[in-house]
Amino acid sequence: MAEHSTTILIIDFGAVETTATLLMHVDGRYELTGQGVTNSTCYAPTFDVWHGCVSAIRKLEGRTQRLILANDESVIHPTNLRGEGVDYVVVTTSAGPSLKLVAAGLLEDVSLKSCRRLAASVGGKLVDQISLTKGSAVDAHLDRALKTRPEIIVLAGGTEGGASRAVIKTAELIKAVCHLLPGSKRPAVLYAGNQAIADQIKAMLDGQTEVIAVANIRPSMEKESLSAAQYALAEILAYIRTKQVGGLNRAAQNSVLPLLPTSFTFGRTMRLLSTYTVTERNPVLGVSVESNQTTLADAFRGSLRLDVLPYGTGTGVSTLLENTRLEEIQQWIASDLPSVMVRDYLHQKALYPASVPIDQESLLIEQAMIRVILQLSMTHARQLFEKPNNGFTKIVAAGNALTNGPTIRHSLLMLLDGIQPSGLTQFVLDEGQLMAAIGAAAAIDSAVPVHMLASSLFAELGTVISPVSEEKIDRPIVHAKLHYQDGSDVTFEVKKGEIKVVPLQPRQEAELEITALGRTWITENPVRTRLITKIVGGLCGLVIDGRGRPIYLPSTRDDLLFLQQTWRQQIGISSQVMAGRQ
Amino acid sequence: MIASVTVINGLVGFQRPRLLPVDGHVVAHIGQQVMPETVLAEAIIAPHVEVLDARVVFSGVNRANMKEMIERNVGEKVEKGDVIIATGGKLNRVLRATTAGIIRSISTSQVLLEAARKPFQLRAGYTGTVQEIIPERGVMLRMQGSLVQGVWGNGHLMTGKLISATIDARKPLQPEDLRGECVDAIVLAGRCRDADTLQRAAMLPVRGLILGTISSHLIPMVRSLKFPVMVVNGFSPAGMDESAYRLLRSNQGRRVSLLAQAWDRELGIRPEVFIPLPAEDIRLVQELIDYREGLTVRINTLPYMAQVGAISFVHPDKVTLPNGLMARAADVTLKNGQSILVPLNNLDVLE
Repeated sequence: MAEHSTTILIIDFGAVETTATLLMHVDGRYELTGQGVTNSTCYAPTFDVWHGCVSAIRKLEGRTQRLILANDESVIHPTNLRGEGVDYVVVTTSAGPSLKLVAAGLLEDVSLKSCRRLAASVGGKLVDQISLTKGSAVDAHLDRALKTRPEIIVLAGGTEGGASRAVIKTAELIKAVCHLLPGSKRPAVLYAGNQAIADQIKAMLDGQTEVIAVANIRPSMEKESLSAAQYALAEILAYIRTKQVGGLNRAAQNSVLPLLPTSFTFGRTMRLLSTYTVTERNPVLGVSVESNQTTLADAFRGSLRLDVLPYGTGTGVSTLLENTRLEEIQQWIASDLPSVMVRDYLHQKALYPASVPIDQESLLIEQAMIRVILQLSMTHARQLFEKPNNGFTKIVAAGNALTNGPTIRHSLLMLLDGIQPSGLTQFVLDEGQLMAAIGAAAAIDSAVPVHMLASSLFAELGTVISPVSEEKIDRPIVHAKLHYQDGSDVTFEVKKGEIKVVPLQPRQEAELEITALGRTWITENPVRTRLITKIVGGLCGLVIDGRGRPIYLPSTRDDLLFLQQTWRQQIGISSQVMAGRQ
Repeated sequence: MIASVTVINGLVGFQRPRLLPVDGHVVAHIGQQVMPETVLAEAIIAPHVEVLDARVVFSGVNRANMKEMIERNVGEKVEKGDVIIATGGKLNRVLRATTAGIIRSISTSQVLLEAARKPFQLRAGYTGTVQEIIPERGVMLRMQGSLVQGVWGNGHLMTGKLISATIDARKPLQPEDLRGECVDAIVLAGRCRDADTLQRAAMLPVRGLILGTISSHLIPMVRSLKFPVMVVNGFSPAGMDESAYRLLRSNQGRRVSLLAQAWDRELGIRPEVFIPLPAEDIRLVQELIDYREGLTVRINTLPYMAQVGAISFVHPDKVTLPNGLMARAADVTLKNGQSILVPLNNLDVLE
């Protein structure tokens, strides 16, 4: 009998793909044993995600030579004496429609704002916002509830020891909503307000609907505390999904832990990463662009801000097209494609969300679309969380379309154009789409993220320095000297509008002396014009993005094309078609 | 890998759900033979609730007596002006219905009155048989006949005589192609690229349009049209695929059902054209197919949009595409003999 090693199977049900990931504890460390990926069977004709899951696990079995499924297609767990099966199963999902949510609070800039941030953490579609203190008409809220059939009402308001009467009045309105809806269609209520009346609120709505009370999201006017409510909301969302998505309940029954949204476990990994990352003032950012949604997880010293948006590269294209102009996408296409072709392509992509660009033109359109998805998402997150700048210590990118481009340089340029970070940022690609799986498995063993994030499974692209500059194009904005460990050094200057790549191998350290020239700042938070720091290299080396923030795009098509092609060349994307990833 | 399947079939049996957009009342019964116009279910789509303040009426009234003063029950229909609460006595205070409707809730503080609204009626759209009732939502219908599935529709449905306005699946429909015989007909054409043609179709008027492809800038206009428009292949200048065009043209002059509903993967609903045919023991459409050699497929994206061919080889692992991306793919032999590499996710198996 082989020595027993702990095994964790993570099953993720995405909108387009189902992924089975197997982690194993070997020689004191968790390692990736294998992955099986198949198309989702969430929708017609099967309407049963378990069908696709079995196929994904069969692929995983083939790759790992380990039997995981029993004859009845259930997961064997725990591992038996023959070494078959797995010890733990955890399940995450991002499949299914957007959650319909009502935010109910007292003050627009206090509890309602926190409710909106909470809703954003699950990608909830806000179908109504109730603030009776604003004197809004009760019957209008009732009409909206009847028309939109919300699935969750988040009720907040009243700081600890603060207002209670207005919260109770809002609960009366929620009770009326429940009266009007049939029993099975009533929204669950997440109460995250003044704890002094939590029992009273529960008693009021008892028998009408399920009420989950969690810690106050605004214990005081100054303090916001979302984490307990985020977890509760994620659990409710996942529970609702088990009723909407066929086969998900069967999958969840295999799991030792509650089913959770993929975005939540992705955020959990980023939160944990922020506790390991040495950072002065800037957070780490996780960005995952999927078919139906985009997740931004901004974490700083263990505190997480999660924003899930309905923009995606597949089913999320329709929402993207509703929220942006075609010109916004077209300006990022490094080729002179007619607008009619671009528009047609994007609408066709919405019809066939899993389709893959076949030729160079289609690829350019998709990559332009991803840039705009990132820009819209970043703008939303900055407004939602009132973030003053785009400084990030590290950016981890996930999602197939973003991370599995023809070359890693395509991915890096998309990230720089889309996110437009400022200051010093390390870039990492999650090519194996492991971040969410790691976060899910972290609940089984907190060592999983520690081991996995330190492994070589992630593509370290290197460090990018993005100064903010008010200098004119082609004027020098930084002067720098890079001291390699072998004693050699290289001196260089970067002009405004230019991307400069300096060789620095993955995990190779070097000391960088960099000085801003003219009206230029190396970092915004804190404001620095000179910096001496250790830099870690990566697959793309050290990159200085001298284009300034925001990136200026000329209005004439010829100039725009020239600039796009120049940037591609400067970062190392060949004008020839790339065969295979580099 | 499970294939994406599109049905383009001259004689096939199939089931389809017909569902209300919100919960309502199903009026059809199992075994019922339905025509496209048959009403299957009804629902109030946009209800309105009036909140009547009962506190004014009950002001000063002993709580123990309030119950006796409520003259109506929850669920009861009322007309505008009907008394719901009356305190009686010399200072009789009354609460009257402000609109005709149904009382949804009564308490000592408020009455919730749902205003009467004309219900939305869900029609069958197909000629077929009710197989199953889906409580509060609709029915499952069973049909047999010719079926052509599309990819996009503007939400309307209609029945009518099928007329082909062009003789080429790739040729754009022009205003002058819409002749007198197209009046009150469902018109078939390869593609449409301009608003003038759609305006001409609306002026005639036609009963519906079946188009291979349209230019996506026409989407807002097509959505505003009062008759159904179904797009078979999508958004491009490619025109209609030969398989769909040939089958539809062969049914010219027949009465067809055009269901130009939106493609909803969650509900398993697609836009489709259906031509009922009398037959027995028709095989049911097979929608669960794995990609394999020999299958007839249609390509759904550039640069081979709407082209039909046969799978000659399914690559077991991911392969590199000409643009450098890696994907699961198949070699497809087109009708002209050309062999091309296409990602599996860009292929529809034609059933």
